[in-house]
Amino acid sequence: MSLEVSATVSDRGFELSMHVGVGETLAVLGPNGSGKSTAMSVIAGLLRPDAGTASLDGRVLFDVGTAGKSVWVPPHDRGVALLAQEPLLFPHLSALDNVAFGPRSLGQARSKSRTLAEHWLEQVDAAQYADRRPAQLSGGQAQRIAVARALAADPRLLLLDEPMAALDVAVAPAIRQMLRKVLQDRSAVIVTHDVLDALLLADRVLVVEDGHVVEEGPTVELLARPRSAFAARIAGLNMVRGSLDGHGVRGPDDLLVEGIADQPIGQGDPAVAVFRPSAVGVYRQPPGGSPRNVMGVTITELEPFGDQIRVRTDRLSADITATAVAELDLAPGTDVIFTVKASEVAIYRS
Amino acid sequence: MAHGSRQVGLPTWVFVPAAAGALFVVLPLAAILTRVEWSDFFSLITSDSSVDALQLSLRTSSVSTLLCVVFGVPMAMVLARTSFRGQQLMRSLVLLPLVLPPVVGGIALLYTFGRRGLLGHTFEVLGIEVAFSTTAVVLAQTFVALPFLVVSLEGALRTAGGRYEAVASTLGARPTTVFRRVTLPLVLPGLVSGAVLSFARALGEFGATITFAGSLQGVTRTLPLEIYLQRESDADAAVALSLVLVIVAVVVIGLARGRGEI
Repeated sequence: MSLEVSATVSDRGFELSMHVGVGETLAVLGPNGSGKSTAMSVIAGLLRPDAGTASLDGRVLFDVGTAGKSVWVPPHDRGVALLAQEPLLFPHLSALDNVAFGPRSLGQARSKSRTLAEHWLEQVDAAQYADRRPAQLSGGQAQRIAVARALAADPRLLLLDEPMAALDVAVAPAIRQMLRKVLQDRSAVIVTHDVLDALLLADRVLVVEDGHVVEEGPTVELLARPRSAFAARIAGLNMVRGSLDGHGVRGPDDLLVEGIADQPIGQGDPAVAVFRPSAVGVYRQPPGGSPRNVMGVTITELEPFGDQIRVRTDRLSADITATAVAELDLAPGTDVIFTVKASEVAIYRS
Repeated sequence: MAHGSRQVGLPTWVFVPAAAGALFVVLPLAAILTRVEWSDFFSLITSDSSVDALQLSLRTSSVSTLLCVVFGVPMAMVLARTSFRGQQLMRSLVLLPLVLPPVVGGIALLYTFGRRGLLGHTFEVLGIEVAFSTTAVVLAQTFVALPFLVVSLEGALRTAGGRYEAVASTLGARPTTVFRRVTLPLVLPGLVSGAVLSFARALGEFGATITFAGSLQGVTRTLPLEIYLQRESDADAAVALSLVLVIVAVVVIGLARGRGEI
């Protein structure tokens, strides 16, 4: 195991533990204010938790709040580099000197540091910007150089705190590609809002809500079978959480969603039903015919989603064509019926 | 107005008091110019006592500014980058000389470093007499000028924020390296303007100096003291020397503004 950390920050209601395997990239997902950045600060040594322990490659980073001696390794001695939302390139240094900052600080000679910096600038396809000042760089270029700077410090663990959040939508894919390349076989934690980041960059996903881990698992598995509301939302899936009742999940408001369980679940056990918005039918009147789940909902929002319209309601979403929206005369506030075939609903133990 | 910029119009009456205020500042300076005896100007400012005073002023103000930097930079860093109990109180105390009448500062210094002062005996044992020496001039100037540097620099530090420093530390830089390679370059404009302001304040110091250091030609009689004394006996010399200080002040403000600060 590369990183193991568990920490409590009382005044932020933060209490979580996580681990990162050697060479593994962990994505941390969660709504704003859920404690993702707090976790990064704690691991980097910029925020002292009230209690907790952490070790990186077998070396203790901190051990505080327990009786006896407390250990606190300062940030510069941790081998943990932090890449933030904004590049935060030192404005008074050229791109090359920014990248050489880490090696220089770690005691490398000037010429060796510059050679290393040139190497890492090439790795992020930014060698041509070596002599520029940060003020002369675009957001995407600056973030590339910030990545190079973090990597040049030869960290044992790389923390990326929403590295693409402040970038133009047009630039993000290229940066994501570049990160995909440099994160291979590297121990890293990436905080993100974007399911694509998790899917493309991470081996494993951790979902944090209100300072606590609510879900954890291999990326592909978790995105296909999200159990927390947040993971379901970003994965674009509908989710009804409740307890198993017959062949379905009995959720809040007595909503029953029947589906197919992939493993035996006991009656009354906590369970979650998941289905895609595209599998949902939208009606004004309850339809007859084949057995389906029927759910009364109130529309809150209509928004374009690819070539369809995503109909958001107080609890679920449906993807239907614009024509259907017009024919049904849908608008926010309209009460409608959602239907979904049981065969389209997957049920998991939660 | 910059091209393309728009702003809500000001009420017309605002311009009247604004103009009166500006006049109030500029008119006295113009008055000095009208009273200068231009034919004797050069000989007046190059008399022995004038040159002594000017040299002493420049020397002591430079040393004071240096002391302000040496002590003020760490003070500003502690105030801007740490938090501890009583920090607000500490900040208020540090800034006290800004609002304290300088003559009170002089008396305070006298009862600290003077022969019968708090530390006077200690200094006497060491064979150092501070009061009424050039050292006293430097101490008095430093006392009144230090807050200018601290205020300037603390503002610059807070504006720069701690985020660059945080990044630098995660890249492996020790606190001293962070200070030298990141913090200092980032706040250099603030530091320069703070130092310039401190220098200007030290140069104009009068009350604390005359109380604590006295007025001995070539030893403690700085330019403001010289002007004050000359006013009695030789008004023309006083006006000429005043003009010299005005010019120095204008140059200092120009330097500070040139750095985009203040």
